[in-house]
Amino acid sequence: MATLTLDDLVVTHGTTRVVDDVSARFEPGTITAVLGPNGAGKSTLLNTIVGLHQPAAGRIQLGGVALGEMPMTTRARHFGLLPQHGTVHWNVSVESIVQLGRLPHQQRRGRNCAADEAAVERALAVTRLENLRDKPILSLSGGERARALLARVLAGEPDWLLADEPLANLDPAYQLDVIAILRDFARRGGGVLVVLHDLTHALRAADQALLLHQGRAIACGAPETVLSQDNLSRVFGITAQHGLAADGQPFVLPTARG
Amino acid sequence: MSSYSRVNLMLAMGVLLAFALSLMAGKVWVGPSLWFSGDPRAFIIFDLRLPRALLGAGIGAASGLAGAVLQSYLRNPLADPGLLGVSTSAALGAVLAIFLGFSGTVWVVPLAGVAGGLLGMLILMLLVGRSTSVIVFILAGIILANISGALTALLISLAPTPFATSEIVNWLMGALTDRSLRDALIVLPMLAVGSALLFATARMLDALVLGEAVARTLGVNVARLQWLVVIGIGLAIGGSTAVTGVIGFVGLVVPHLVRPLVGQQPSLGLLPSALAGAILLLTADALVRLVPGASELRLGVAMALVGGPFFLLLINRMRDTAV
Repeated sequence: MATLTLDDLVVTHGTTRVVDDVSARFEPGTITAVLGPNGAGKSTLLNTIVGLHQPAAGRIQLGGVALGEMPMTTRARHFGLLPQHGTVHWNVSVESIVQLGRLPHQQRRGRNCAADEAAVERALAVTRLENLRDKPILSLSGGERARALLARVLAGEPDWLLADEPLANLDPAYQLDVIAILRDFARRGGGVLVVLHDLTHALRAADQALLLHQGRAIACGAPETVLSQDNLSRVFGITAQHGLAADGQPFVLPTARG
Repeated sequence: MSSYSRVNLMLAMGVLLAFALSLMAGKVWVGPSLWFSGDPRAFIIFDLRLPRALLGAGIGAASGLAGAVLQSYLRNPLADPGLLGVSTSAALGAVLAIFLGFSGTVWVVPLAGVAGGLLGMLILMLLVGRSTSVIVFILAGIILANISGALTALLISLAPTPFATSEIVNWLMGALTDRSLRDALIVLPMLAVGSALLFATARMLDALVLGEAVARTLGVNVARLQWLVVIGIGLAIGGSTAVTGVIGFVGLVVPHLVRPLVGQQPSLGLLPSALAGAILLLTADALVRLVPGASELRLGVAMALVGGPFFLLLINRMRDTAV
């Protein structure tokens, strides 16, 4: 699988530079936590990589191939986006939601061949939704629904998984589940970009962190370096306590503004 | 056999029954035993009721399908093809032809209606421009419906003779009466092409369940989808209106009747909605003929009388379940 690189990427909404001159490198098999305050350009960055926005300047390349020249149908097989607000407009079954993930593979051949069914089964198994497959999606709890939407992305077997705040509104157990699924995806060779607001999850789960502030990349590198007291104070305006938990893993606890 | 196929099979048999009913029912009841017996009443079947039944089935199916597609596309269960101004602009085209005195010539009124419908769709696309937003689409549709409605009213008030006025008003009320086999031959191919375009949207509509942005990341070309919906509905509804006048509510009501049977997944609602639409219109048209009275109740009026309260019921239920 190929490296994903951003070179001097600029994305504008009107006259605002929402993503401002961002350069970064993402390796397959790793998790990158995309961090920053609300409005820092994190969602726009993810949406631009999958092709929902056109860059105003700069390049996105996958293994040296510029994404601007890649048709959306091909791009759809490389990137799976889990959007921030998981809207579902009709009360359809969990399984039919997950099957939608196979659409990028069904453009040329028909639907539901053996490969499609196998991928859907794997996605349902990974997210432990086998028993809920026939349930209407709107009858599920928030956590179950979030897992179903994640299963939809996994069923597409993308090379890159772009998850926008997948932990929002989840209880701590489900948060750990989702993190484990992302880790598993990376361990199998996939690349993950995940927008997180929980700094401790970022510190513990990610191999790399990208810190955005007002559209600019403030820091990119090892999470413990990126989440230094200096950067936290500058970007979020907070003081945080860094420490080691009983399991030997680090944690960050925001304690005060300033 | 899956429950989906079973539902479709039942509905298909329902269409056959309703079609037979439509051939038999009327001021003169003609049972199957008389059809090929050389009885003079058989001509009622083949010259009067067969075109009517064919049109009823085709238009009902196209309206049901158009409603199902439009509700899924706009992700709004209250959407109706009438909302987009297709039926009103088709009506405007046909009314213009009647106004200019072409009502005697068989081909002109339906063709003017279709031209009006397609022109309306084209104007809609120009209004929408490059936006793929559903809100813009609905607003443009409402504007179009209003303008063509106003122009139709203008033509009625400018009509040269009271006779022309009543002819236009009568036509606008919508009916399947006195349509010839030739009318059916003009409109059915258009309905078929329009329906084929609408059926082609099935999986794209499924993807829209997750919202437009996600659908795009799944490789769905939303601009192409919009064209398919617009031209498909233009042909299906424009063609229907052009021959029969405005018969509303089938597209609104039918998808709601079908969803309890096949669920809410858009692609699974299309075929059953088409079949159920055919049943509804064929049955309604047969019942309209059986209502006693000097002149027949207009089908468009009957559908509106049934459809209006249904709409109210729907809104009421949505208000109760809304969180």
